Amino acid sequence: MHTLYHGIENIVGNVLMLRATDVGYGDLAEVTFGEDSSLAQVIQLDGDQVYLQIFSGSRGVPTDATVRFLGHGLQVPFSEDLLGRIFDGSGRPRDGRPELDATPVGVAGPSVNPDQRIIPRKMVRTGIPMIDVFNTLVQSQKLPIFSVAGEPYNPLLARIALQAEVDVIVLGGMGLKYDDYLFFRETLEEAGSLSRTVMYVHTAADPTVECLFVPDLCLAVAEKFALENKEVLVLLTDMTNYADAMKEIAITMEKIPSNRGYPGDLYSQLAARYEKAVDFESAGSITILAATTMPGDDVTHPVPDNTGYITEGQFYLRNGRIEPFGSLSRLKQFVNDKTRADHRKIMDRMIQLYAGFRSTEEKRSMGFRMTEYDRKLVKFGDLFEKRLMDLRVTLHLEDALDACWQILADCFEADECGMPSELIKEFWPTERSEVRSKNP
Amino acid sequence: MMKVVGEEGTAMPDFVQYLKAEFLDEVYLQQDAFHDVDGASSADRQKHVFSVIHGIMTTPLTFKTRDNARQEFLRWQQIAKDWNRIPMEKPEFKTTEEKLVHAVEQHRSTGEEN
Repeated sequence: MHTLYHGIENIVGNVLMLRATDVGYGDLAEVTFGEDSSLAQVIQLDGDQVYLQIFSGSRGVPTDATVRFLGHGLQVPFSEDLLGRIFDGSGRPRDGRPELDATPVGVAGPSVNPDQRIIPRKMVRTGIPMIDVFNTLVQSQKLPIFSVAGEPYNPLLARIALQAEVDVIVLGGMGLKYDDYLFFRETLEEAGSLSRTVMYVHTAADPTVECLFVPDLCLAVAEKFALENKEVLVLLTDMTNYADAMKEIAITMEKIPSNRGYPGDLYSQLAARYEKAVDFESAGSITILAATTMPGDDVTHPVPDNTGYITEGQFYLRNGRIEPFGSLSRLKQFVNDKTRADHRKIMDRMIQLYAGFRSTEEKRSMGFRMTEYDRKLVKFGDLFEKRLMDLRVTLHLEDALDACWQILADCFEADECGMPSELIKEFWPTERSEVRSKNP
Repeated sequence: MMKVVGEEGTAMPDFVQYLKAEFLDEVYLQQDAFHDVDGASSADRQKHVFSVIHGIMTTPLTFKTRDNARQEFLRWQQIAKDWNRIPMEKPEFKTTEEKLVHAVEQHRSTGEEN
């Protein structure tokens, strides 16, 4: 019943234009030319003019190619067998194994009805103290990792993929360097975590359009898993590449560029993806962590700027650490009163003292004499950085809280650390670590 | 000013003044918004706490060394912060208040002897 169309009126970049009727926005089409064929998607309709974005790129596509509309939008096969598999940006296997034979589900549908959602109430344990203790990640939260290029955001995401206490990890790579793709694959394989992971990876060498599908594929699959009672963590890297791909396509479409050449609907496009994060009343949840690189460490860049209005906080990755001052999880207060009695207080106090350490550092760099209290602050700051902020540190939340107390006890007297006396009674370590290491 | 001349360049009475200001900020102006008691205090409580803090602010205090002064103030801060977290109707409210006033008073009387 499908009509075959011949004759493409024009080709600009990866966008083909032809005249056709009964075509829906977002529908897929198969473009056949000679022995080759490629999928394409309707991205604009203007009367009977249909604009198709061709996935494999328009190189070699003649104007007499045949176009067949499939009558549905982008779909992705879904079943439990997805776990352990790696696909590319258009859903083809990248791991050399056969295509998945399962019921296709639609991609990029609407986000979940607010009526089905619950107020977030469960934390996601990641084993990274700067997240678990200081800016707790909460199920259904959407958080970006703002990072300067060159910071270890991919190794951080890989560690979260290994350690996070969730059922399913969906990893979406956009414009990844091939090395980074191999790094993710090998790290997950070695740790045996690939079996709970699905990866959709677009590398920098793949056609730009495929980059645009990665978040949608990831989130569609995540939603299906969540509906099957799974707690799902979606890791996306890097959303700036995604926005750049949108920019590239928008410019070939001759859309009027907005701020710094990005399409005017950048905010809506990003929001449509982030808003997929959800905690279902009677099923699982989707949590999103997305690396967003800031060109030149510029938070006013349109991508981090718009992202900041959508997400529930942000992590700043700077100098190889999760920066304690700019980073914020806006949902942490929903969960950190249910973990351990000292969690909130120690979180506040450690950061206050660390701020004290920073101003003491400033004082020291100006050449002022260090007082006794200053020396304690300096020791505190060094221990904090070494035992907790270092990204290689892996600690369970409770161990990390104990480590915080140990740092306080190593640097201060109990009555000058500023913690409530009743918590001191319960948690103050009996020995300093120097003493402890001498008497094992 | 202390940023420019450093603690060692600040005269003792000025330094004590600075610590008092820091004390007022830490224990009266700041609150723990997530604590049930400290998060919302009644006007009566605020007036009462202020009168006690005001008493401490106006008490003349002397110290032998700056380190000693800072240490004392940190101790009092600890007591005052505990006090902020106790409901006003509990008996501990009164005892902690007395503990704070007593600690300052004790220092004042022994401090004067030196």
